[in-house]
Amino acid sequence: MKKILTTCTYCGCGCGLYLQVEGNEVIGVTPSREHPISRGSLCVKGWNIHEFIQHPDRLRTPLIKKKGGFEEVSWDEAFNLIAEKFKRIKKRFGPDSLGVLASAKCTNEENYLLSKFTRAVLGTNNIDHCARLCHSSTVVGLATAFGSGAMTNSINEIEEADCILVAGSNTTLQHPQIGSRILNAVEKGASLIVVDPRTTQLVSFALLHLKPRPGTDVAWINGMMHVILKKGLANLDFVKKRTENFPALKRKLAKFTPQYVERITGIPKEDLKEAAGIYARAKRAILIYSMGITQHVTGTDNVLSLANLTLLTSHVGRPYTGLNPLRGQNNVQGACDMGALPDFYSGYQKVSNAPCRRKFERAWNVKLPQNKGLTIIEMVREAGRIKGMYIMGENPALSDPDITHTVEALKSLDFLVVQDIFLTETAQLADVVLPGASFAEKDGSFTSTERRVQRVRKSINPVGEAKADWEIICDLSKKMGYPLNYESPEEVMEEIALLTPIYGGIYYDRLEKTFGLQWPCWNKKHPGTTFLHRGSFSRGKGHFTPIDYKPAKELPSKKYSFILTTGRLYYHWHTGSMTRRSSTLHREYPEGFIEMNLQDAQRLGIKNKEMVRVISRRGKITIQALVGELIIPGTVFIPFHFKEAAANLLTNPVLDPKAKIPEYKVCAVRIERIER
Amino acid sequence: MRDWILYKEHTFPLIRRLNKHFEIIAPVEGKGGDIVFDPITSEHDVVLDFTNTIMPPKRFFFPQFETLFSWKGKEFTLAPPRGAGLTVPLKTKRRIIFGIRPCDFSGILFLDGYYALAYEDNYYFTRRNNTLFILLGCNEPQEHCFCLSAGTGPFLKRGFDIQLTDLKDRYYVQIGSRKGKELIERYDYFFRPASREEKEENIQTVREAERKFKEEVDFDLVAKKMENEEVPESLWQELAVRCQNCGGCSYVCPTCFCFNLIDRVTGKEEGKRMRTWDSCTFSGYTRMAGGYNPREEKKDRVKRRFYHKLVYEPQQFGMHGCVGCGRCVTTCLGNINMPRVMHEIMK
Amino acid sequence: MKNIYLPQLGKIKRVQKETSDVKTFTLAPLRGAGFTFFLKEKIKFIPGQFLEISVFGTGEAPFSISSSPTQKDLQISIKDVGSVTSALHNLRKGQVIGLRGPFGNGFPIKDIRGYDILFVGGGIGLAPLRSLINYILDKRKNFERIIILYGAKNPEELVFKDELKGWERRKDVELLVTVDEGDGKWKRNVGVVTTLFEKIKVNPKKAFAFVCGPPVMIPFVIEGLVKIGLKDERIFANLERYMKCGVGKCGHCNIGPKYTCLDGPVFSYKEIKGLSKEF
Ligand SMILES: Cc1cc2nc3c(=O)[nH]c(=O)nc-3n(C[C@H](O)[C@H](O)[C@H](O)COP(=O)(O)OP(=O)(O)OC[C@H]3O[C@@H](n4cnc5c(N)ncnc54)[C@H](O)[C@@H]3O)c2cc1C
Ligand code: SF4
Ligand code: SF4
Ligand code: SF4
Ligand code: FES
Repeated sequence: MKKILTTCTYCGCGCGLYLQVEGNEVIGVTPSREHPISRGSLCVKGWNIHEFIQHPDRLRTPLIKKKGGFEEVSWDEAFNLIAEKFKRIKKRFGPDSLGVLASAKCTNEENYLLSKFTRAVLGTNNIDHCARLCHSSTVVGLATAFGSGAMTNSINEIEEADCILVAGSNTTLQHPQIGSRILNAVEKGASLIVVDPRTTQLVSFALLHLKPRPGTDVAWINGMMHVILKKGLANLDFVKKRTENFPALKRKLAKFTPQYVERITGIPKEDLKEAAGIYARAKRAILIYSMGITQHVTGTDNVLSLANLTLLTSHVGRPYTGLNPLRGQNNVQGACDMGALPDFYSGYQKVSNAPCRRKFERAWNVKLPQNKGLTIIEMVREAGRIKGMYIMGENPALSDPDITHTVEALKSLDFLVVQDIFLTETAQLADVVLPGASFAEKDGSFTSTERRVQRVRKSINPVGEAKADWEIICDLSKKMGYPLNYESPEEVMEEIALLTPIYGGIYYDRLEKTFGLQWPCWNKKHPGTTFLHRGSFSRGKGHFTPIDYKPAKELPSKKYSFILTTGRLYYHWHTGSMTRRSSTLHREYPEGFIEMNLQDAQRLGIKNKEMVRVISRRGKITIQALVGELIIPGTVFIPFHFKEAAANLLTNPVLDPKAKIPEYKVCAVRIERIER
Repeated sequence: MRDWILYKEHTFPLIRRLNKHFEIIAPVEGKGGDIVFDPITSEHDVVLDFTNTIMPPKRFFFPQFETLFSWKGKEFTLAPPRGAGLTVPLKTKRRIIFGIRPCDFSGILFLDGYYALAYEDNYYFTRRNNTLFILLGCNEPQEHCFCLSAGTGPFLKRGFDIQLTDLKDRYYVQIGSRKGKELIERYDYFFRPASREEKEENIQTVREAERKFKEEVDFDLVAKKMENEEVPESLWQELAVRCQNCGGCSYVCPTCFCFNLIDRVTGKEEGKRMRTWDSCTFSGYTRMAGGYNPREEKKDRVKRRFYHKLVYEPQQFGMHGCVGCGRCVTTCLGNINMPRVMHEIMK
Repeated sequence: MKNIYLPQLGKIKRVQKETSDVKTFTLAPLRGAGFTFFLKEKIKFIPGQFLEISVFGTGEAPFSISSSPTQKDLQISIKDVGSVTSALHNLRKGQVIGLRGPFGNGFPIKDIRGYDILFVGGGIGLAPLRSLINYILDKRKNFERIIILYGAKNPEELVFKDELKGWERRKDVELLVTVDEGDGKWKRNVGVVTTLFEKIKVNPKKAFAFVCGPPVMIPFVIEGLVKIGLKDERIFANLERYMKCGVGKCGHCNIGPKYTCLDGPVFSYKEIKGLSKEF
């Protein structure tokens, strides 16, 4: 037996854990006590991570679809087919007829290589990944306001705050370590304000719980700023010295009186005033938000509004104080950092910026495309134009909004390659399936939500003939005539450091001796950065963007009278391909449910645990009802992990115009009792 | 029995010698600087100056994930068998656990009792019976240790095979079993008999260590109050809202023994039955087919965990289900833990 | 040391449909190269004990033996509610299963000789009671009155229909059946099983009662029996718990300080009274 230190592959907290290996089998887990985040603890997913790694359902050989069924083939055969097809499509329809999805589950090195492969070999900027679906509005919004779209602070700073405002994040369940820090802060006396239409576990510790109607975030945020200005609680000195465009904001806020806000959001005006006072007066105020803010048609607006709020109160750019988007996936931060985005190379260097492009052209020794590529949803929408796709470790056939449409689009492709560890719903649609390696079977690095770049270490050999994803990309690239010769992920990271200023000082030897480094880390001597925007913002001055309240795209109507909001459960991870294969996790929630308020249920004659039909304009599902008082009347919640009752058959694929994030958090549905 | 002295400079040579005949599991330093129990490859891996490990060595007897048996052959899907059948992969090596702390060893004694109730768990005992335990008593209790109150440390009086007390440049060696005696006799050239002064020094060291405890709880008082239902339900409710259902408190606890049994199909006509650690904090732990759950509320589950350890287990076989190791203090995401709960009840 | 988790192999000799979701399986030993089966000697058990049945690849679950040790066949009766049970329902004659057991304490058959015996069953809960009923009927003269109160959701869901008819015909058995919802043809009692209490006269001094049914039913029935005047130690209930190992190791079946698989599944009301909140 031996224990190998690595990083958890579930959430963005980035816990350090040891895998217990016997022979070539992972048989257990030990949390690291020295690690700054795990500190001797893990959440239930981390504790049971060994169960999925060598699950019998893992993909073990490449598969090619022949006459409707999959056939096991050699790597060579699979690569030959892919190379041939991609070359043909590229020749016939041009490079922009190809699209690539990278993966927030894969390592930095793999995402970097896939971005390189897409741009240098396929010759297109059509690369994106699931960050589009969770935090693209953060990236766009915070880039506008501050110049950098990541958590401004570190996880452990939360413990020292004296006011914590949590908006649209079920933190204890989705980011257990961060949830635990919030609990600690409250024990130390911090005031907690929770803004969420659902009564989450955090609410038990909150001083105030504001319950806005889904889709009305801009209104309550503007309302808070209105109150803050009126009470003279804004830091006008800070506003003058470090920000710009304040007068425009001020004009916009005028009409957002507490009464007006109450009408829109349903938040009692007294509560709003109190919350504004507590937040503005705090010395060390941490604002935390997540998908409840971002996954809206107004996602970017919501993020910009929160940024306005922190600028107005000067609650940013200091230790224990700032604006903190919680990134969901273990490496969604890293996948963005690595340039798995249609408009950026690694380190948010713009594709459209000529000097940047020239730098990469020189390094990669190839001419690069200039126009911005398509986003994830656009690729699927434009399936007519996209002829071939390469999907690494993502499952859009269950995770995209309106999956009926997505599945049709994927089916209509001329050629689809999926690289994954399980035969997911998406992989089932593929022409070629390539077996990747799980996090326990390869070397690399992940970047956690607090910008901490840390090592993932190989503990066992890949199952069957599976290969590390970086090796797959290198091998395929070679077949397509552009050899990517790297001995190891370490060598890839050296290239990343060279080309990516914020990763400039990140090398494996430094990661070896520490539990990672937090970017920006400019050079080999730089210690990394715990909090951002000290002294000045990444973009120079903080920028106020006046925002108006716009209602959600699909509001409840007579026929579809409920607002549906979707999300995750503690025990499951996204589309469940890993967690539903872990007996302990699966047992906790073997099936999906719809959470609804008792009043609504009584009105419809629905009893707890009864099966109901949920119908939206796009689809319908049958699902168990969970009746209670944890959710406000008129709103219902469905977790999206369960393919038998897939919430995303219902969701609305309308996009935020700036960030192109879909509106997962609001759509209108109807609920029907099933007659017995 | 006579007590012995082992000079510290002889410790590594002794371990090297033992390692030729035994698999030695000892505290070693993991990559991140964490001290963990693992089999050693060389005696130099062993760390003897350590605050207790993140997890007890329980998993070497009761692994987190283990195959109980596997099956192969057509008969398991159809028709009567011919030849093939069930195989049990259980192999054991002769092992020494070196440097286990008294609280953790008390956990093993607890499991010895539990796994022998009514039926013997052969997987546990096959490994257990092949293992010799060399304890390292604690001169310096940690912040959260309360083994003194639990009666499981910082040094044990009996039950161990061999127990070492750190006397600065040497270890005071006590023998507690025939296995231990045989081992010392076999390697007697590493040891010399302890003198009267050293015996006294050992007693002093133990006393001194006992004086250093910061955490003190009264198991009997707590159990009595719980039995008499003097604990307000509101306490359990307060704890329940903090619990994040991670299962960690059970996983790290030296006395927690629950497991689940699951089947895994590994091929067309083959598969295995596995057992995996379980925890009573999960709702699926008691939920029955059809959805009925006797402990549906988190409050009932949290409450039952403490009742089980502090009331039921002493009733059942006379041992506390807590050895005072303090691990649940470190691991709980909601700051729920044994000493905290006991203090609340004692109030 | 004996391996307490390793099942013996058996096969299905016969399958009989009881209701739309209940089947009775007759099990038989399996002989083959390299196996030793305790089934070679007929399983010795007491009514009320249970077996852990494996469907390899799906899992293992506990089932009461529904036949009597005085009978030739070894039977279990299973309601299809989840993964193992539905896998069992899909098995046919001749197919292989695993068995461990018998486990659990069983009914106190020695203490009840010479008494009136009252059975109260609900739904599939009649399975373990059936074992004891047939045991007693085979030793009829050792007992006084035999009263069986049995209820199900609707007439279709009554299990062991043929046997119920047989018991009904016997002069020395008093059988009363009820359903929650009748259908057009149903002429007997409608209502939960406790409504049958009014229709019988029991001498509490001379009687033992055995209760088995869904978890929600048990407290009401016990309450009724206590009202009739039965002493706590003469009321026995079969408790169902999520069970895995069946041998007091996995912890799942624990109720207070008791282990359902070792100390139960048959408990006297006296034993479980203090734990009322949990059962
Ligand atoms: C001593 C004893 C004797 C028994 N005797 C009999 C008997 O004679 N006959 C008989 O038929 N049964 C009997 N049972 C019950 C039988 O053991 C269970 O029905 C069986 O274990 C179910 O196993 P399964 O694998 O089919 O169900 P599982 O697949 O394990 O399904 C049940 C699990 O799935 C989940 N689940 C399933 N449905 C739902 C839902 N609607 N809502 C939420 N969660 C759900 C729950 O987690 C539950 O634990 C007995 C039980 C015991 C303890
Ligand atoms: S899922 Fe997140 S909180 Fe849980 S163990 Fe992994 S990194 Fe830690
Ligand atoms: S309950 Fe906590 S302190 Fe007690 S033995 Fe278990 S882990 Fe250690
Ligand atoms: S360690 Fe704490 S949070 Fe986790 S299950 Fe135990 S009590 Fe709950
Ligand atoms: S079923 Fe495992 S302890 Fe009772």
